[in-house]
Amino acid sequence: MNASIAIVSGKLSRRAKARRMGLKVFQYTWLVLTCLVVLVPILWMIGASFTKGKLLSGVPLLPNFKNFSLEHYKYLFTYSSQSGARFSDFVASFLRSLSIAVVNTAAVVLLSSMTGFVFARFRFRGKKSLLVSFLLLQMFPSFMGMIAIFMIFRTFGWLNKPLNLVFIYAAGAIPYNTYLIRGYMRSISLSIDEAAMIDGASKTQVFFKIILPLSGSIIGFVAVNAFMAPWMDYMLPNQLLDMQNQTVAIFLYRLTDPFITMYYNPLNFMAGALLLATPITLVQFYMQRFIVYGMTAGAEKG
Amino acid sequence: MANAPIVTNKLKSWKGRPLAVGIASLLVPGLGQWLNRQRLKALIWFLIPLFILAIELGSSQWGRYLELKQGKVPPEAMATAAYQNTSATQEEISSQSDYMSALFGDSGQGGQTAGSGDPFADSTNAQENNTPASSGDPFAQAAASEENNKPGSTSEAKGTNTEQGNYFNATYVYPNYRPGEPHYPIRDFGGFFTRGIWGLVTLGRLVIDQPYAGGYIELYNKISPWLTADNSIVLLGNALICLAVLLILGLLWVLGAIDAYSTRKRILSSGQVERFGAFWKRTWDSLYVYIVSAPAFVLIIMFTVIPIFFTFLLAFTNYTYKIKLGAKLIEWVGFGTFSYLAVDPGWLSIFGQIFLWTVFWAFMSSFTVYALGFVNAMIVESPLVRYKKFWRTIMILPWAIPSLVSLMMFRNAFDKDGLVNQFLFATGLMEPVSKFLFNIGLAGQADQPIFWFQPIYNGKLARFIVILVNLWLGAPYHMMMIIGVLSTIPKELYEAAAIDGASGSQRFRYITLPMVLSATVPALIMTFSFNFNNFGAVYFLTGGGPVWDPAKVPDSMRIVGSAMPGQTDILISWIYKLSFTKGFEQYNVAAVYSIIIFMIVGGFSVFNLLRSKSFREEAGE
Repeated sequence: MNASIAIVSGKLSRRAKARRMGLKVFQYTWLVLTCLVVLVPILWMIGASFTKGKLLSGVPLLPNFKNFSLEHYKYLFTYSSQSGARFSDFVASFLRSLSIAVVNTAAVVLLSSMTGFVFARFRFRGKKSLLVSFLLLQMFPSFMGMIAIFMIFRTFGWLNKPLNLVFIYAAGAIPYNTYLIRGYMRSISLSIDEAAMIDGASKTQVFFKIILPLSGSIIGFVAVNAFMAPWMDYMLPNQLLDMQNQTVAIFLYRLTDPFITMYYNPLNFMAGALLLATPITLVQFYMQRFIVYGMTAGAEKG
Repeated sequence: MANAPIVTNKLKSWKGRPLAVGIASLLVPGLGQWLNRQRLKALIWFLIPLFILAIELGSSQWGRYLELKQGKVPPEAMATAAYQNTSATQEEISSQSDYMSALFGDSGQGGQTAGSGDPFADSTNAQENNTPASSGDPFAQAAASEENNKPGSTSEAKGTNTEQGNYFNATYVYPNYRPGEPHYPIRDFGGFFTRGIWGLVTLGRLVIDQPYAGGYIELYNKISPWLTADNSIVLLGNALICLAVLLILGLLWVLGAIDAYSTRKRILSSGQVERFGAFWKRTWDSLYVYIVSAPAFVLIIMFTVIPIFFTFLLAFTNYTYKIKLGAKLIEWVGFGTFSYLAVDPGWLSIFGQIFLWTVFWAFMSSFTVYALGFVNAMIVESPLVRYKKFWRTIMILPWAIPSLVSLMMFRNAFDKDGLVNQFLFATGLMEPVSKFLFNIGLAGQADQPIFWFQPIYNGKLARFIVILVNLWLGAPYHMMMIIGVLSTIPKELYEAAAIDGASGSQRFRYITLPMVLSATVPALIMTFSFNFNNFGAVYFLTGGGPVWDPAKVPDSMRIVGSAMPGQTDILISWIYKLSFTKGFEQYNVAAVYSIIIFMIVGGFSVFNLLRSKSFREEAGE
């Protein structure tokens, strides 16, 4: 933007140059400060995870190798509350969360793209009111239905089975994702479907062979979100799973809750949080393209 | 249709009128189709009432009721307890209440820890250290229910039942209705639908150890189900499932009537009866939509809609921690909870304060996050800045880290020994900062170190920190979004403005700001409603603390005990406390407040949707 002034006015006056310099200094100061605010807590967390003991006060502000220790990582990879378990508690809960996330991704992508397709391509009775009620459903505090969900799970004998949580996650995620995917699919030209239909493709074939491959970027966004959501859910696993079947979020929470003295150790938590956050952060960065796309799509299409 | 159909002589009788056919189909599904000479179709619709009847009869014991009515039941098969002289006292009932919760935890595999306010933990534990009365074979009690009829104290009877119980020679015991005593044939014999409706209306009538129709109500009796205690929550859940099934079948029923009506109209105008094949093809085409989206709809109905209705109904009951299921019944209180909460000054003032803070929080958190995101985006995208990608990567880091992790990290960072206090001590800033916070009124005392989240007098400080931490977490998202929007603003606009002599600030004010704002208003509204319900930002950071000043807790609120909100609690996290603080659950109050939140946030989002472009384009569909 400012470069365009230079183009237009040709030569900059001295005053303008000074102002530009001032702006530049201000901008860089801002950037450096912001980055410090972002990085310092993260660096502190890394430092804490390598500090001996279980006290936050022992964490040095500046790198100090006197207290260096790998005990927290060792704890995470070796401690198991059950004897003879194949994995340590942390690894087991991590794998549980991973399996939930993978299944959830598959379920959400398949179901919401199918419904999105239907909403984008067909006219039918009650479409508009369904869309509105979809959106309304999202707004109810989800854990308020917990008693009912607990009852349903109990009736089906689903308690303490981590993968069954996917039913709830998917049910919660479908409405908004349907809405997003519908918005995207509406922008795909109808003539493509028509051409395929003339060639004898059924509606289902049109969906799987034409519309779905063309919706890659929005599907990517939905998939990343569906993959991320279960990792950090605290309430559902806390109510529906027992200790032997916990997810990694609950495991970490236990480490920071001072009331659970058996597990409380903020430094163990720091190590576990880093181990959990690193892969997730990498996935987020790797999928950034989709996410930025989906965010702007969500912003524009509301 | 404006034009009157051509009515042939043959069809001129009343039977020929579309309305008459429609009403016929409403009375008996399929009858209208039959009158339209569409036999196969008639058969399909006639299956609906048959289906309802089959479910009802299959799940009921109405046959036994008939036997009982006709006097065919031999007297030895009737329950004959002489309970008149041994009515169970209230104490006895409440002493049983511990294992009654086993009703609710029968599938727990034990081993749940008590921490973190698990509402159902208590039930699973109860099952483990159960008294013989309900441990082991649940049929044991049923088997010996005849023994149960002997006079004597109820607990003795139970003890003997368990020992003599034998599943294999268990027989059904008929309720022995005696004139003048209450009896509930629908409860005792009803099927899926009748019992469902009965449960919805009454929420149960009989609790454990209560004498009824010649027997004593038990925790669970598989062989003679009528001896099982009523569990209001189970009844309510079944009633909702029953209503959902009825609703779907009823919808088909009505569709049948509409179909009969419109088919007759078409017959009158064209004089031809549609063949079934044509009808099927037409239906399949129009049903494609519903079949494809059926799995999603089933999931949503099961795990979103039914729970929502369930909660909605709880708001009209008196269900709190005082009710132990099976030992005490939940009752409908209509708008009682609503009006109590609206009238009682104590509840009203606390709710008002929490509500105001929630609105303030939602507004401030959305606004600060958006503003900082905007500034960051402008600076990163400024032409004067080099290595944009480097800066951007660092700045979006907080967004990429899972929020639960960062929130709990900050909870530790603001600990007494955490990063912030250490940093302040190390740099010698502790004293001035502490004094400053005290002077501007955020902190109640100039402590060193600063207790960020704990003492009662630091409520304002904790609120401030919650907003600050949310800024750290949320700004990157908005920065990314605004960078995305900035890239869509055409460069020519700026060049044209520069040629017209607009200064940098003018271009920002008249081009950048309006363009970005108009593109992100929906996202801003969504951020607002998200933050309104941002449970994690409060719960994982402060846990709601500092606690409410005990001196300021109104007397009428003392019963909520540790479910009292903390000073940083927003509505949603208070609702969580109200429904899951062990020993202090206030399900009905929590449900009322959820409905209020639902109306506010739901209204917001519907408004947002209705004004969105893509939705308006669909008008008329």
